[in-house]
Amino acid sequence: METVWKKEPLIHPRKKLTDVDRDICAPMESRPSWRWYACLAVAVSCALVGAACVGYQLHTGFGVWGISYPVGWAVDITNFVFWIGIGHAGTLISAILHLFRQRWRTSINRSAEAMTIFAVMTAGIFPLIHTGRPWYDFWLLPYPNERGLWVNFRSPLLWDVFAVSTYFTISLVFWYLGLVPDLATVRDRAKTKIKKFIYGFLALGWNGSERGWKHYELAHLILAGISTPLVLSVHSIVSFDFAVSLLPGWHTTIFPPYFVAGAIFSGFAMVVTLLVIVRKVFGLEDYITLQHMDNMNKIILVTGMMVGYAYGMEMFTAWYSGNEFERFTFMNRALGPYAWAYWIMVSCNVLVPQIFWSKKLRRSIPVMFVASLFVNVGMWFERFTIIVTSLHRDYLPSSWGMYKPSFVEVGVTIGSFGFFFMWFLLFCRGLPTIAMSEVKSTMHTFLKPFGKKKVKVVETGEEYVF
Amino acid sequence: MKEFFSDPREEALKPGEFSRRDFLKLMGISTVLAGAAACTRRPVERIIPYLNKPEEVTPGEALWYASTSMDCHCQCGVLVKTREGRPIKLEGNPDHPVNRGGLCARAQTSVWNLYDPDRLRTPVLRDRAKGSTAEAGWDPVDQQIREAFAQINAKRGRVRLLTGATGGPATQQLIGEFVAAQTDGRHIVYEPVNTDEIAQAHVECFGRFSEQSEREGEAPAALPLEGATRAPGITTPRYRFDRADVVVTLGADFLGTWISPVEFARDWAAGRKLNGDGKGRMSRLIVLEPILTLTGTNADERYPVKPTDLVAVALALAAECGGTPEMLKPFALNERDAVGGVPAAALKRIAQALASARGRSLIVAGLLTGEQGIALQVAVNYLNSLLGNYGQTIDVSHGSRQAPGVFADLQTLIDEMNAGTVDALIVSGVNPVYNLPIATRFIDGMKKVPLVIQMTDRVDETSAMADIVLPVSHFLESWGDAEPQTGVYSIVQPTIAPLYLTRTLAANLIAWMNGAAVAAAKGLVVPPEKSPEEYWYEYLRATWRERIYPTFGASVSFEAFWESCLRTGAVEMRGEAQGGAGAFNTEALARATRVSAGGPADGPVGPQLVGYPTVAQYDGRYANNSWLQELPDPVTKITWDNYVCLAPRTAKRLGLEEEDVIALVPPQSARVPAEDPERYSEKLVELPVHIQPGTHEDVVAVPIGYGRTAAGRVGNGVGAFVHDLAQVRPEGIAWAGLPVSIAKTGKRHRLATTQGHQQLMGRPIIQETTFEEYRKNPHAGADDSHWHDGAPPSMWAKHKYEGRRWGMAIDLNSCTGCSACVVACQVENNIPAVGKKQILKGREMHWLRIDRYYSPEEENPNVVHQPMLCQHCEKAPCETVCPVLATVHDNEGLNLQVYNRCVGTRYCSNNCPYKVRRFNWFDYGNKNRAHYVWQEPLHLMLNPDVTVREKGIMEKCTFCIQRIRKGKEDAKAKGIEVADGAIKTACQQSCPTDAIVFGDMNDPESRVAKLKKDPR
Repeated sequence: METVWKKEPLIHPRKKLTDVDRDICAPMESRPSWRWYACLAVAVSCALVGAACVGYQLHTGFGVWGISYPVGWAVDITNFVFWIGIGHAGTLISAILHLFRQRWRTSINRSAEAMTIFAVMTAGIFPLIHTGRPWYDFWLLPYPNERGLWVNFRSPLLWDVFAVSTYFTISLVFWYLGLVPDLATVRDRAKTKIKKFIYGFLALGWNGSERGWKHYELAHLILAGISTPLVLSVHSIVSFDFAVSLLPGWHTTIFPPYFVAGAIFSGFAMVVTLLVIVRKVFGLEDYITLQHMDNMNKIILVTGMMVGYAYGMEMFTAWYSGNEFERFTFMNRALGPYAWAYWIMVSCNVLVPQIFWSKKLRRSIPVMFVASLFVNVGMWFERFTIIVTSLHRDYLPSSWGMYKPSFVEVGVTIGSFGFFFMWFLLFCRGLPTIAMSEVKSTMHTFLKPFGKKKVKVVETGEEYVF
Repeated sequence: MKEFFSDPREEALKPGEFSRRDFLKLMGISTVLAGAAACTRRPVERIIPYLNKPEEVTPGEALWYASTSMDCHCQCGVLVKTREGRPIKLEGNPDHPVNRGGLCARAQTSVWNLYDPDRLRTPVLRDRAKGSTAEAGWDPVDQQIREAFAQINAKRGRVRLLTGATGGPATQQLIGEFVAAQTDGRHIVYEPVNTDEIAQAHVECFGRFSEQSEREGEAPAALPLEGATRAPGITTPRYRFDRADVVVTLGADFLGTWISPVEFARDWAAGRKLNGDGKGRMSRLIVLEPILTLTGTNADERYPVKPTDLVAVALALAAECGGTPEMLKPFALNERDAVGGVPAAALKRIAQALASARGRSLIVAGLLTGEQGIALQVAVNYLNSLLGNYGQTIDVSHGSRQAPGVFADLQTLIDEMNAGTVDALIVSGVNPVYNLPIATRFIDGMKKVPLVIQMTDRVDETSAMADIVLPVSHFLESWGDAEPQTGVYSIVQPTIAPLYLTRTLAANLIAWMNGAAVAAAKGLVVPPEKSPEEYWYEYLRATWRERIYPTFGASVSFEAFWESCLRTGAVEMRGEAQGGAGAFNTEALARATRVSAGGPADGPVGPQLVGYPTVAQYDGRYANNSWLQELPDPVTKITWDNYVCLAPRTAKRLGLEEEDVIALVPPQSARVPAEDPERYSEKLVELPVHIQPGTHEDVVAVPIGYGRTAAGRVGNGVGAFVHDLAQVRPEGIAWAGLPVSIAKTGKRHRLATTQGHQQLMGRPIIQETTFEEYRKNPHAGADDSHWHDGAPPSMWAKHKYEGRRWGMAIDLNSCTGCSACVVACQVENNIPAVGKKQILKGREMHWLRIDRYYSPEEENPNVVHQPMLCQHCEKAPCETVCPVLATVHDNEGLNLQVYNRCVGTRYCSNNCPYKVRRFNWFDYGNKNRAHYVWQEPLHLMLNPDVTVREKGIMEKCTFCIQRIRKGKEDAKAKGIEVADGAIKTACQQSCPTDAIVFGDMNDPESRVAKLKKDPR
């Protein structure tokens, strides 16, 4: 028996267990305000703009994008990598932090995971639409056919297909599994028959039995175990799209860890952006406390410095390699016609997070909101820089060129944000945004046998010790 | 009696149920009926059984015809590939004495002109007063014209025929007869870009030397026509670059546009071929020119000289080479540091090189026209004469007739027209309203001619002022002949029946002269119901029988001779040059010295205008041809526009940047048409700036041949019309060295270039060495230091090539950058031209491009050309990254692109270090889409052996896989192995300098395998 290091409570102590259910289910049990409708309308309109642009592209040809030679990928793949990156925080929080027993994740993991799902859905659109003949995208799947055609397992694009689809599937299952006890809570609180039916159906007959909990916990742990390598693998494989090619600026071994760090960085920034709004709008400040935000900002600071290190290392490697093409590419990044994008990237990703050394700023809502937006922008430009500036000046100077997006790129990018926020808004009103059952576990005053050790829970809150 | 009205078993059934029997009955009847229905007659469609196979035509087999390219001035021999009766590609005729296999970009696109959707399809009668037009049939038109001529001849009126280069003996003779049949007829030959200055200078320097080599027994019609100053073209000699060890050119772009570039390029490159043994010969090319021409980019030594200094530089060279006349004294170098910007040391070096190559050197000049041009040619003639080049590298006995034009004749015609004394003007094959500057007053004169008949392939600028506009057959639809150089007789034979109601010039003349009478005069028996075209065919044969067949030796029958002519396309009847040009008339030099009267290098100060024809557009006649509009200029790499070339330093001084629009203001002293002075001032020319390294600092250079207003849907409004900037002088139309001033407009105009960056950035992309180094070590310059540790380790297993392994070698030493291969590839492989908008986005579709790099020195850079196409890499980076295996390696070393399988991720293009893959951004081949490029009937020229690609897929050079297949099938049918050289890619075939070699690298005896081992 030992006393745990006393910490600030994760959930405000004034909240009782019943408050949790009431507060978190409130959005599902009241009519949405006009503000929510307005937001949804904007999001759906944006998504429709994107859909219209895609329709135009399908009809007329991919040439309606601004993409050309030598820049064969640009905003399409930038958006893909950006959204995949955003999708990293959720699984990281729920799987890795789960395995590390970081209890503070409980307040944020639900929305972070939802964000992951939606971000991966959004990301998935881009590889599908950016091909010349999207109606044949299914050829990337290795399915048996009478023509004896097969796919090329040497191509990183194929690895992408597997990596992203696996990641999406596991994330979805993991997220849904975590939802089950909460769905049962919602079902039990539901007043109308339809609601009862829907949530009851989704809750898979959860009854809160000891046996149920036992299997649930085990399944959760196993899925967390499966998801953890995925967090690392997905973005590693996405980075292979570049690293496996022979283009200077792409062909580098630093990419897998660099991309993973960048993904976590951008994912957390997006979580901060969203939660700042969600906790305010739905009055969840007591559940998603400044302590949570503080923790996330620390991760942003750390991963921000990791990507900063990667930027520096890339430059060093290029110089150290003595390869004139590599050297030129990196000089061109920093000083060439797209230098503005590079410097946006560096300042947003490396300089801005440095403010989080200060605890005061780390806990200031307006500061972190603005900073997280900067990080999002910076990370978008990171991908843009990697893709466009490497492509636009490669080996033969004769084929050098510039890339300028057309309205379709703008429309599709706007559409992707609309699509993402549409789902997120629906999620906020349709499903519990905070994992109620898990949150409760951090606030119970109870003694539970756990292995040989006993844990004494101090009156203010949390923390297991093994 | 029935016990029941119905079967009781059926009574037991509920409504809607069947008994087993009924079911079987129904099944039976429906099967029978369905079967019977299937036996009914199908909807009737016209299926034509292939019973009556057209003679010689086998579906899927190409038929080749020898002919002569008449769409351009050089009149090169071509082989026309036809499929199912449609001409689809032109290739240089290896047996033709002029081009010997190569063919320039312009000639290769002739099929586009044949199928041009904007061609004129029927005769049109215009009412000039009202501007209204009406289509007409040939019979009433012929009737009308015959009556008009009868009236004119009755009152002894004047009939004038204005043409460009017209053809060979039969055509010339027919024209002669037509002209002679009029009471006052005359034939004027004027090509907008011509060799008049060369001809005039030769007359001045040597007298009419050409007469001594006139063929014996030649019919009078080929002699100078009565009243004409000279017979067209005869006094332009034939230049023999293959015999020259030192070539000096003063502005003549002989590799690009000057007289006969394909022939010259082949000859010139022949003097520079190396085979890697450290020996061999390398001719020296020294270029002194105001603008960077294609020839200049190939120079061993190049100096920018402004136009007005060219004469002085030539005279200084003459003085340095030992020219003695007193009047040369002021031009001698003496103590001067430089003449016209060329350092004295360089001039001395050039003079030395020339002097050490007496009889093996060649000095040519061009670009300057008018009095300056004649002066320059005189000076150059003097130099050549001094160095004993006449009879050696200059053959005056077999002169060129490729770019004829006699300005004096044209001037006489214009004066007559303005005086109102011309009663009928027939314009054929030229577009004077567009090509001639307004200051020639041709347009004013034309208004005073009561009857203007134009023969044209489209309603062009001149048509707007004609009374009768007649559609003329394309040369691929016509019989005809040509004599590009004296002693070279070339056949034009039709490869397709006329697509529209068109006729040739010759048939028209026959129709108007009364065909039967012409035939009778020739002693021909032609049934009177024959059409003029059939008369013309008989006339052509008869002329060849009379004039050419006898000189041929006639050991065979005429029919056999004629057939062999048709098969080979041309007969050559010229031997070695017969002696020199005779004594140089030193008095002629006076003209040259007079032009540079103020002494050397004392031309007008300030910017000087130079108008020059470009490789792609030449004089503007090809404006409606998308392939040519989209062909990047070999020097500037700009498509779909003309521009003002300024030297980098000049642009900086004037504060101008690339694509800034400036206005060119001709000085007041330019001749203004008296009647309409205002029109001149309207013609301020606004053009975007192109900063062109290598341009002389004082030069403002503009490509001519743009700004067409009535070329058709493609060519209208492309670029700006600059022809009015030229000055009309008594000796000719001056195009270079004119004073001009520049005004900024503040506007911008985007130029569509296909090359993003112009310098090598110190990268080892092209490896160079000097000839001296090469002679010491043939391996010199080849940097293979990155291989010194052996090949780097690879993840992938090496390919095995057990049979053949196709490969290509391109000799960069021979490549001039002329871009013929670029167009050859486009025509062969159905590659669309995509338009300026797409080029601006960098979306050109050329499978083969030519990269042109400058050395960092801006004012006078070294230039290298590098054809760039799919390298068919052994371990191709594109192959590993394609997720669907749409690009794969075959067992013969080809990198294949499977169009059907391509999804269009473009990853292969990103991973291609050469960036030679091309993506179908739009549906260029779908006629229901906005980006359709093969507008009917252009689709008829598509090569049926090559797929027209769908939108969204990647394509690239295939090494002409259809030709490889054909070669293999042919060999298999004959039961032999594919011989080296039997398979030629389209680019290889078209290359005038034979720089491209394709073959089997596994065959140690193949040319390509040997070239691979070449230490270079």
